[in-house]
This record gives sequence, C-alpha cells and structure tokens, in this order.
Amino acid sequence: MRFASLLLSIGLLIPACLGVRYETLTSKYKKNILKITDANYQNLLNNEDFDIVLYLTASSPQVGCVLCNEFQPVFEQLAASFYENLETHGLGSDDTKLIFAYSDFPDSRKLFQQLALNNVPKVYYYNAQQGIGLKPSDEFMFMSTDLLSTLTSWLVAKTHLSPELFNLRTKVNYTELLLTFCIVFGLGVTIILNYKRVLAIITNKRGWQALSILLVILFTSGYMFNLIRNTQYIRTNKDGSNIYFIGGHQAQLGVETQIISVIYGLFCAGMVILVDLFKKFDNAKLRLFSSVGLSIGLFVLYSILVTCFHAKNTGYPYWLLKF
Amino acid sequence: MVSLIDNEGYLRVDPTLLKLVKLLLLTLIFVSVSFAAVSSRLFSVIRFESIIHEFDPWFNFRATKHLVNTSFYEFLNWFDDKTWYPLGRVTGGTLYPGLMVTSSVIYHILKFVGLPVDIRNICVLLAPAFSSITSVAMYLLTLEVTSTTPTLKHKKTAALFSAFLMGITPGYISRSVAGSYDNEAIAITLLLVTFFLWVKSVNTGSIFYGALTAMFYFYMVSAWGGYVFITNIIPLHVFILLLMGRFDYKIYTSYCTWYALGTLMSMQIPFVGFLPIRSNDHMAAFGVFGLLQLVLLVSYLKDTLSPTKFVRLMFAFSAVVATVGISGLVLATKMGWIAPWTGRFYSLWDTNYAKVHIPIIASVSEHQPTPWSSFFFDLNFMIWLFPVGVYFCFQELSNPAVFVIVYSVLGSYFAGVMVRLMLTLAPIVCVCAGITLGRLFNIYLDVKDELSSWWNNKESQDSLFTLLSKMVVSATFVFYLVFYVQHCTWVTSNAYSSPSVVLASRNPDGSQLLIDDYREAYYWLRMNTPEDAKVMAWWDYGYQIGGMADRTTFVDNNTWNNTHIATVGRAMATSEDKAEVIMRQLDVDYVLVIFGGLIGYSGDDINKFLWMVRISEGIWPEEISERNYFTDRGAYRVDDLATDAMKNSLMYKLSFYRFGDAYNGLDPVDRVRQQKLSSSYAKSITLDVMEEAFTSENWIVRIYKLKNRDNFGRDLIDIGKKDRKQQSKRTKRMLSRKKPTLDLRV
Repeated sequence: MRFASLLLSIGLLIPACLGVRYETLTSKYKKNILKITDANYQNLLNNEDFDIVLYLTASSPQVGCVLCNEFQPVFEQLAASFYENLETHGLGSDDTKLIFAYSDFPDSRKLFQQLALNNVPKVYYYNAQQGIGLKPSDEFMFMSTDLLSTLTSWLVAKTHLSPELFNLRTKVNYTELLLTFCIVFGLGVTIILNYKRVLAIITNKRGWQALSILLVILFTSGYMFNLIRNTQYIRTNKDGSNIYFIGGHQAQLGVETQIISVIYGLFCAGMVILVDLFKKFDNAKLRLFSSVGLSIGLFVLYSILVTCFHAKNTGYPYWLLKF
Repeated sequence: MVSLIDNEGYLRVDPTLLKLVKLLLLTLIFVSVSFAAVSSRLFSVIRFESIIHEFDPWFNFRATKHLVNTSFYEFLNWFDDKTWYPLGRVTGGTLYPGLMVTSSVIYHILKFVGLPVDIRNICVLLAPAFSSITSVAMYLLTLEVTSTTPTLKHKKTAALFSAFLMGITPGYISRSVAGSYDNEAIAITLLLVTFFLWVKSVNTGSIFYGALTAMFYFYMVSAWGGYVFITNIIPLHVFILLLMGRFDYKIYTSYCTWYALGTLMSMQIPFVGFLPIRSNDHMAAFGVFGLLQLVLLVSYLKDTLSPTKFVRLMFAFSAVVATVGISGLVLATKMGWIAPWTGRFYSLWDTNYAKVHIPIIASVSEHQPTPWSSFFFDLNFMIWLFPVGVYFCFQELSNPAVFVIVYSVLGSYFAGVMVRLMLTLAPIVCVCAGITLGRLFNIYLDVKDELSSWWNNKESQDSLFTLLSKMVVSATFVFYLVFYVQHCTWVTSNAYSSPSVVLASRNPDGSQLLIDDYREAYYWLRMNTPEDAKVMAWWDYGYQIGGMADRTTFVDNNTWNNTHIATVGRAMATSEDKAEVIMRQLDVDYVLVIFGGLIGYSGDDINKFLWMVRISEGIWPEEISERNYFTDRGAYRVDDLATDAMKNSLMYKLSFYRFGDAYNGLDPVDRVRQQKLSSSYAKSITLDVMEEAFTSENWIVRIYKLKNRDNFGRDLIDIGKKDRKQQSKRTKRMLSRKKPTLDLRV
C-alpha cells in the first residue's frame, strides 16, 4: 500500500521535473515576452509551476490577419508593463508566477495543429494547477472594441492577481523626444533664415489652390471612409483576379478611392481646359477639334464613372456607355 | 411707343419692357424650380398618403400638436410624464423649438386668414414648402458671391443654375421629402439665408446686415443642433481673411455685430443655454472675436505710434496676451467652467472614439463615414463640377470667394466623416457647380457673334467651326443636365420616399402590397389598452408609440439616459425570471417587439438585439456578455442551435413565441436570418410571465401583456412549469393527433 502511494507520488512528480522552472525562465527572458515555438512548447505548456498567458497569432502579411497585427502591440505592452510592475515596483508577492508568451504561426505549425486552431488571434490562459496537457484552462474572447481593458479585466479575473500589476507603464522615449525637438528646432531655424522664401511658398496662391482641390477630391472620393474603417486595399478572387469594386454603400476598398480620385482629377482638368479654351486658341479649326475631343473625353470619363457606380449600386437603371 | 425699327435697321425696344420681360422670365424660372422642387418631394404622399415618416418626426409632430393646443410658455415649460417613465423628460428645455413654432405660426396664420388646415398636413408639407424657399436663398447666395467677384462673370446664369440644382439634389431631398418633419427640413433653408446675409454683410460692412445675419442665426439655433456648423465656419472665414491680411472695418463691423447679437440671442433657447460660452464648439467664434479686437487695437497703434515704439510695445503686448490667455484657459478648464475637450470634440477628429466609447452613437447608422458612391448617389454630376468651381473661386480671391473655398474644404471633410453631413455639403456643391455651369454655358451657348458673322459672310469657315464646337459642347452638357434630372428623380423615388411606417412590397403578380402593421398595432394599443398603460419597447419605437398610440413609454429616440436604455436592454436580454423582476420594478404593463421573421422584414428587434446586449453589457458586464449570444463558432443563430442565453432571453421568446403555429406543423423558417427551426423546438418556446395580447397581420409587431401576480403569491414560472407537466402523455397525444384549428389572423 505504502509502495503504491510512493509510486503514485513519483509518477506525479516526474512531469513537474520535466517542465521548466519559473525561476530559470524569468532569469533568461527578463522583461521579455516569451516566444513559444515547435521546439519548446511541450516543455513549457506541460508545467505545473507557473501560469501562462499565451497569445496565438499569425503576423505574416501573407495571412493578412488585421486583428492580429492590431492586437500584438497591445499584448506586448501589457506584458512589458506587467514584468516592470512586478520587478521594479514590487507590486506582486513572491508566488506570483505568470508568464506572458506568444506563438507565431510559421514557427509553430505543430502546436497550432495540436491545438486544432482554425482561426487566430487567440489568447489562452494555462493554469498551473489545472492538470497537464495542451488544453487551455480558459480563452479570451475578442468581442469588445476596447481590447486592452477587457483583456486586463479578464486576466485579473483568471489569475486572481492584483489589478495594479496590469497597470500600463508607458516608457518615456528620450531619443524620440530629442529627435522631435531637433526637428522642430531645425525647422524653426530654417524658416527664420529663409524667411522670404518660406513666405513666398506660404503666400503662393497656386499652392493653396492645388491643396484645396486635392483635399476636396480626396474627401469626396471616400478617403475618410478608408481611414476610419481601415479598409482593405484590394480584394482577390479565388482564381487570382482582382476585385476593384465591392458592391453596396456600406463597404469600400482602398483602390476604389484611388480610381475615383483619378477620374475626378481628370474631370477637373478637362473642365478647366474646356472653359478656358476660347481664350487660349485663336485658330477656329483647332478650337473645334479640341472642344469636340474634350467633349468626347469627358463623356467617356463620365461613362466610366457611371460604370463604376453600377458596380456599387447594382439596381441603378441608367447607363451612358456600357463597358 | 414700345418698339421701333431705327434707321440702321435695328430693333429698338423700350428698356422698361425689356426689364419687364426679364422679370417675367426670372419669375417663370423660379416658379418652375419651385414646382420641380416641391413635386419631386411628393412621391411618398402620392404613393402612400399624407403621413409623418420614420421616428423623430413623430416626436416633432407630437410636440407641435402640444404647442398648438397650449400656449408658447406652457410649451417651453412642458414636462412630459408620458415618456421615460418613471423619470419623465423636461421636454420644453431639451428640444429645439424652431420647427414646432414655425408650423404652429403657419397654422395660426392660415386659420386667421380663414383657411383652417389640419396641423398634420402642415407638418407633412412643411419640408417641401421650405425647399422652394431654399432655392431662392441659394440664388441669392450665389448671386452675392459671383457679383462681388469680378472674374466670376455671368452671375445670374450661375445663380439660376445653382438654384435649380439645389431644388432637386437628392443630398437635400433625403431630409426634406413630404412627411419627413424633422429639424433639417427648415434648417437648411435657414443655413443658406444666414450664409447669404453673412456674405452680404462682409461685402457691405453694414450693421443692418450683420444684425440680420444674427437674427437668422438665432432662428437657425432654435431649429437645429447643426447650427454649430455656422458657429465655426464664419469665424474660420474671418480668421483666414485676417491671415491673408484682409482686415478692414467691414469685416470687423459685420463679425462683431453677428457674434455679439447672435450669441446673446442663441442663449435665449433653453436647450442651448450657456453652451455658447462654455462648450468647445463655440470657442473658435469667441477666440476670433477676441482676436479681432486685438487686431483693431494693433492697427490703431500702428497708425499713431512711431515704428520703434510700436515694435517694442508689440513684443510686450503679445507676451502678456499669450500668458494671460493660456493661463486663463487652463484655469477655467481646471475649475470646470468650460469644457473644451468633451467626447464630441474627439469624435469629430478621431472618429473611432465614438465607436469605442459611446455604443449608442455607434448604433446609429447616420454616424457612419461616407463612401464615394454615396457622394455620387446624392450629388450626381455635381460631384465632378465641384472641384472645378473651387478652381474658379481661386482666380480672384475676393472675400466671398474665400468663403466658398473654406466652406467647400471643411464641408467635404465633414461630409466624408459622417453620412448625414452630406446635407451641409450639398449647398456649397450647388454653388460651385452653378458657377462652373454658368461660366460654361455663357461661353458655349452664346452664339450671337458667330451667327451674325456667318449670316453676313457665308464663305467664312471660321465662324461655322466655332459655331459647331459651341453646339457640341452645349449639347453634351444639356444632356448631362437631363441625366441629372433623371438621376435625381430615380433616387428620390426609390431611396428617399419611403415613410418606413408603412412598408411597400410586391405581390407575386407584381402588384403593390402595403404592409401597414405598425399603424395597425399602434391603433390597437390606442383603442384597447388603458390610457395610462406603460409600454416597454426598444428606444427606436418610443417616439412612434408616443405619437401614434399615445401611451407612456420607457425609452425613446431622445436617448438622454443611457442607464435607462440599458435597463430596458437588460430586461430584453436576460431570462424570463430576471426580466420579470425588472419589469415589475419599472411598472411595465405591455411589451412591444418588432419581429420580421415571418415576412422577412430585416429591421426587426432580433437584428437590433445585439445593440441591446452591448448597451446593457456596458452597465452590467458581470451579468450580460455579448459572447453568450453567439454560438461557439461565433455564429448568430436563432434556430435549434442557438445558445442558451439566446434561447432564454425575453426578446427571443417574445419574438418566436407560437412561431410554429404560423406554419401548421411544418418547420418554421425565419426569413430574415434564413434559419429553420424544427417544429418540435418551436413548440417548446414557452412564456410564463407574459401573455400574448396582440400580433399584427404580418407578425411585424407583437404586443404582450405582463401577467398580474398570482393571487396565492406563487411564482408564475413555477405555475407554468407545473401546468406543462400535468399535461399527461395521453392528452399530448390527443393534441398532436387532433391538430386544433388555429385562430390565426392572416
């Protein structure tokens, strides 16, 4: 009987010995977020010594995961702040054993396979007390819009650590500050030295004219929509062909704005020439050819615009020229 | 003698006759523009009937009725105890009274003249009536801009074109069809009149026009929250003029007159109150006012002092002003007197701010950014004439031309950020397009010289060529104008003329089918419930219930109390037993839900349900979590595979209760979500604390009554459970075999 229990306790101990100790890890990865790959995941995730917050991501541009890239800095900042809070500010007690780790898809295909993931990003929490294996004790839900605060409250709830540990620490970046100062100072000096030239640029009517027209064209071709919604630049079909316009007034691609702003720019140039034409050309024949040519050009341009609009609004009944 | 042929063979006409003809033509043009503007806004009246549209107009209508029935002072003191039960709403102090006052004045004048017109018809037709005034104001504004800028010749043509374009542009029609009785209906007219008077007063420098600008500014403040647009664009105009070194007494006089009078008058509106001296929206106007005084002082000193003394004084002066200004601003902000950095400030510049921090703003589709297609949809070919007009304004930078440029750039930025600000962009687009078209047609339609030279010298090819080129260009642009009319008519008729209270649909044979469930249900409420019955519904329907059913509501489209809205959302999102507690605390009598699953009406409550969850999660995150309403795979399901939180939520039960009965034992299909419920599951959706009171013809509106408490103090849910258990197997079998005839109102 005694023998059996001894065996049992040895059996329980072995995996713990196989796993990595918290102290060794923290001395190695000081203040840094731990990277988990195919090489080390077995050891790390099968431990009973410390808790792990694991962020699973696919940061490579081929995958094109927008949320992953958006979330990465948030997670890193939180991890860095946590370690700093722990060490320098002594907020945690001695048995605070929490490791922030992340794993990127290309380096840990095996792990992703074992976890049977079919979408990223994910944040898993591995509790040291709750058994061995790859199955996480809990998963963070990417639902809210304010990811940082929900992640913090989720972590506080899971780890039962004091919320102060997760307070963000923003580092003052002195080099950047110095650089900004230098740039501002340099700019100021150049402006004062070349006062007249700068004044000439600022008071140049043409410059302001171009700027205003550019802004008007940009805003009316949906630039702000792209900026606010972080839209995709272009979409690709399964057969590799590109989609330049997606239907509906609720969505838009980055390339749409570019195409439309070019069309508007051409319109603007054509109209200006057309209106000022009669002052410029004395020859009546030349006038005829250019005005007829411009009219045709504008008509074709307008037809292209209407065709583009058809791609957005399929129920639109009018066509100029069908392309 | 009216006309005679002089000895050179020319026809000479009396100048007064010419003037008369001109006036007649002008009147004719305005009559036709007004006719086009009004008639294109009448689609919905002809198709449906004279009815108030959508949501907010119902509140305005109700308030107008209150104003007509009581006095003006009583209206300003109106405390409405039929909304936001049990809190009530200080309605008189939280609305812009301009719209209601306008229609009640019209009502009283017509009554005085002896033409008693129903107040509803006045409200319905107010927007089209004002649209014709708008085109006149548009004409005046463009005329003022062009006639004071020498390079922008052909002023009348441009002005008439802009009036015509403004009359039927969908960007403006979207908010001013008959029945959309909203603040914007009169606000755009006032905006244009204010801008016209402003440009006029800068041109003349007269106190009279400055004061008139302030008057109309006051009217605008009383009518629409968008007056802030004027409050910022006029100071910006002045500021840019100052930067360009254009300071003169005309600008000084008109701005100071406008600012002083306008601010004082705008503070008389109870809802605005002390905002003009506190909020960040008005800081720019105040700052420019101060700056103008400083500039005036400096220009005075410059004239009187010697140059060296002046420079020395300037340095000391600017240092003092800067320190006093900055420390004053910091101090006032710290003490809480002014609030320059509020949420709205951020939401205009960093538009993601609202999305993250204020879910109720994010839930309104009007706050979405604008894709390019919306610009084309609302403005058609004007969108590419617009930058050309801006280009022409740069040719001579007169003060009004600078105004047009400032307005264009700022207006297009705001329209790009928020769809509904297309409304403020549309006027300036019309001005610019009018300038461009006026110029173009004046060059290319003017064939007098060519015709005469061709007539005199048939050999001359030059004039023939010129004639031909002019005709080609004119023809294409006349075609574009015709296309514009076609486009506007199509857009208005298809996109902007639905009252959304009555829905139009098509029968299989193509004939029109009107779905009038809303009014049916509201009428039922009005006739069949006690007058003090309290109806709980999502806030979208608050104004309609108040306006059409005349019953007390808990939350409405005013959305002033987020917690109260979240409470209603929580009652809808939690299970029946918890919801019962909330409803008893709120003293609910009836619950109204919108359900489109039977006929496929996508704007129903199940689709809005996530906003209820989100908004209540913001207040009670430990109780309600959005994640629980999605399946493990992240799908939003309402069928057998829905999550428990979904299945147990009150909203779900109210929507799908007895849903199976409509399908006679077949598997019911939710036609909005395209999901099939099994008939056995559909039968298992039960309600214990509520009972069905009314379901409209197409099941769009469903009304439930909260059951009274059990007489013996038993739990209603326990009773329900026991009842269901007691149905023995035999009766169950009987039931399934018998298939009772269903009392369905189809």
